[in-house]
Amino acid sequence: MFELRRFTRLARAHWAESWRKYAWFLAAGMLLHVVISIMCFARERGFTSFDTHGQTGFYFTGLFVLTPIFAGRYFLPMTNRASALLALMRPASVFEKWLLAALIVGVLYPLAYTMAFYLINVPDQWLASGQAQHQPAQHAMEIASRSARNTYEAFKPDYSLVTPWAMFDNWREAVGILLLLCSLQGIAVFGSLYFRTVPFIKTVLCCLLLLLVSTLLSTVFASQPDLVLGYWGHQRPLSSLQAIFYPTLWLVFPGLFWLASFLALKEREIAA
Amino acid sequence: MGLSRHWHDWDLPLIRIEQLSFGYRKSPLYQDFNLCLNEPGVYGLFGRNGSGKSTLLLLLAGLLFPKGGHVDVQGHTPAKRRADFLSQVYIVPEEFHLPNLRPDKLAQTQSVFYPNFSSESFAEYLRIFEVPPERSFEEMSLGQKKKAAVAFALATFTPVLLLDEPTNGLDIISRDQFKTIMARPEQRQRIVLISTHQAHDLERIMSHILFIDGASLALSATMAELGSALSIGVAADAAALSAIPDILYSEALGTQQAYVAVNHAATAGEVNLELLYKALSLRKDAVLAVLAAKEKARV
Repeated sequence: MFELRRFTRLARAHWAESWRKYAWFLAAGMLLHVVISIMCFARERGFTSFDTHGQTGFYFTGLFVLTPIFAGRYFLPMTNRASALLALMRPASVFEKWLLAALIVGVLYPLAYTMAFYLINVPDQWLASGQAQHQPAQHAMEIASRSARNTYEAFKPDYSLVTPWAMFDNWREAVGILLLLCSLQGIAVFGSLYFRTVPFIKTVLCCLLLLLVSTLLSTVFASQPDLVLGYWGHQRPLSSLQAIFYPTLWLVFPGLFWLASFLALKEREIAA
Repeated sequence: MGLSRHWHDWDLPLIRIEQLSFGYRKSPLYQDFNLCLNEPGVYGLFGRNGSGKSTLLLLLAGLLFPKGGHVDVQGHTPAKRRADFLSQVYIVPEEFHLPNLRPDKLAQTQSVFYPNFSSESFAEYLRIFEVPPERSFEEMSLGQKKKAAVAFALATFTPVLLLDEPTNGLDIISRDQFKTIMARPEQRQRIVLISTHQAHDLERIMSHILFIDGASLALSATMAELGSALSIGVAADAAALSAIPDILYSEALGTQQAYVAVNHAATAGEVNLELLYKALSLRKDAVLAVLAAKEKARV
């Protein structure tokens, strides 16, 4: 089922074939980030978009938009009969092919994304920090505008370089974000393998349906529409059964989709 | 590698299909289909459009799963797509895909999966096919890419090689190049199963003919058996044709008459696959009866 030497060969062959595609994807994401940064800086007091909260927002928005797209594109060759045949006939076990996908989508891409984010964010932050220091009047206006919303924040406009995963108020939020990301990756990979035609659109529709169902059930049974999605956000009074059910659901959900991806890959056929 | 190749026991080519049933949705394609190939050689797989030739190759490669029966290739169940099975079978489909690499990079990254792969043979086949090795596949024409894909497949030296219409899209010179490579001795030590409609093109290289008709294997015979049972040729005119006994099939070729008849001579004749194909397609029962009688007499 698993042989390290064969897995290494598989990874090497995959890299030789796909590194250009991955480089283009990252480059496109970086270009988008640069364009958005320029648009922000072009605004009056634009540097205020790059305080630590702004940087964190940029990071997680990019991560949550681009990671599922990347995950959905990993098995894109499966939509083409000829390239699917090549992928399925490569002498490696289904588990090795699936594991490689999980490593690239789940670990390597987020790491590469984080590095690419810093490549753009470091100059952004440096520029914003400089502007904040050299434009005290604007800075004061920014503080004043914030004081209406949040007194504590008003006196803490911070333009230092952010570490996004350290920005959460508590561990629950970080776990929730991580599990949500894993779920989205699992759904995207599964959708790309399960749906033969227009997998991306069908997967997005399924996600919306899932969201709708979870909101509906949470509303009907607990009168809290955000109970499932917002479970990790803050602690709330729950029955002992609910206190077990929701974290279990969140832990099982990504695992199920990744397992379903494995089975979809294993059972994939190619019609003549 | 090449001429001095020696197979390991586990390398011995073997394909066995028993009582296979398969169909797409509600239309059955194979019912109680049986096939056994245990001799190395080049097998021509023929049949009308929609008879299931490509489907059979996909079933043997494990890319389609049988609805019933058993498929065994090299002692493996193809549908499980185990890694050790995949390293012993290579398929080139009619619509193929190559990653955008140069041939040498392809060999470097992919050959490691195939224990019998020969880099020397790959380079030689590319040279025979006149495929520019310095270009990436994206820069090649469709025909050049197809030749590169076939050259790689041939150089893997997997015990089983499945080719679906390998000469489609190739020009006349390239088809000759393909035949030159296929006729080499090292390619005759494995099972090469070629599904094709280009019967006349490839008859020189085939050692065995399989004909699928009506969801089952209608014919499985060696070229020698076919040559000794059937007389295939061209008569000068209709009068000359009428002098030939036991005509099974004939057609006009201008003023001449091409025919398939019972071979009453002691020596085996040439086999024209195109005429045989037509005879089998249009007068299957008569042709099969002659072959069966010849086999009975031989036994």
